[in-house]
Amino acid sequence: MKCAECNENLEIITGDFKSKNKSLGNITVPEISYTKCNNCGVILLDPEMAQKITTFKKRREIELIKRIPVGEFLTVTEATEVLEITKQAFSKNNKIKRNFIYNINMGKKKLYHRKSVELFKSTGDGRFLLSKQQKPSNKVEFKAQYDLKDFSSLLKGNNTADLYTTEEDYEEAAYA
Amino acid sequence: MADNFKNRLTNVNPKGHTQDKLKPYPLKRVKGLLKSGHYKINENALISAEEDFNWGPAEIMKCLLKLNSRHYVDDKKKNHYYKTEAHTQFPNTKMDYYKAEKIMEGFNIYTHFYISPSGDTLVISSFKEL
Repeated sequence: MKCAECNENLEIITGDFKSKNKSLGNITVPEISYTKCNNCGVILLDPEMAQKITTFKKRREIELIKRIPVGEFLTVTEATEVLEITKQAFSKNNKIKRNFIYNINMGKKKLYHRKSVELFKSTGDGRFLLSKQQKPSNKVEFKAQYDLKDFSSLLKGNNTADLYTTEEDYEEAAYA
Repeated sequence: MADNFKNRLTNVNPKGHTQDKLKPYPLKRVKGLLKSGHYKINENALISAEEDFNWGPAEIMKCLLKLNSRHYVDDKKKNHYYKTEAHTQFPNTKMDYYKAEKIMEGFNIYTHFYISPSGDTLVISSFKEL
């Protein structure tokens, strides 16, 4: 197959796939097969691989949202007050239904992240970078940048929202 | 009305010459390739679908299966087909453009795709908010 942009040959690559996401920043998804044009950089994905990337990102996003202290979340009533809309308008909003506002389930109730609600009010998109730091590009760089003791203190800390983007290396180091 | 019809049959190429307007890929064929999994998504299309709608490939496919071939300019609320252009790189290949308002979950989408010269793969080049 040829590249649609520059008509050069496409190369099939299998391995770590670098992608980006509003919530996670730059992330690496392991074991992805994709087609790449080495000339212009266009990347094509099979449906299975695209789904794998999406599932990976969603799972990571949920993991990070769950680490945010419950105190930072609002009830539906509180969220509608912030947004200055009715509960009906809130429940019918397509973007809210599509999780443009970070939320968690507490039993049968859904709670919405305060900052995300406020951001949604001002921009129409409540998603923001959940991790303050980007993962270093390789393991050596990663180990040089962070000491394991720093990680354990970070994990024990109260401000769980400050956790770094979880990646394979991060988990490897954290549980070592 | 007659002018509209005439405009649909001709097209102006970059040199200013009128030429026969390209026919779009039959949606039946496009949807057949989608259903059989013979399609690829450009990474940028996947990212913009996620950014604009929080959709993944499953939702992209579901949405594309809802497209109709009626001209968008005739009824922007109900019709989706926008235009067809010759592919810039592949001879005998064209790119179909669609605009669809409130097609799924109330979102308005803009997409363009083509079928690879070999004819066995649909390539979704773009998928974003209209």
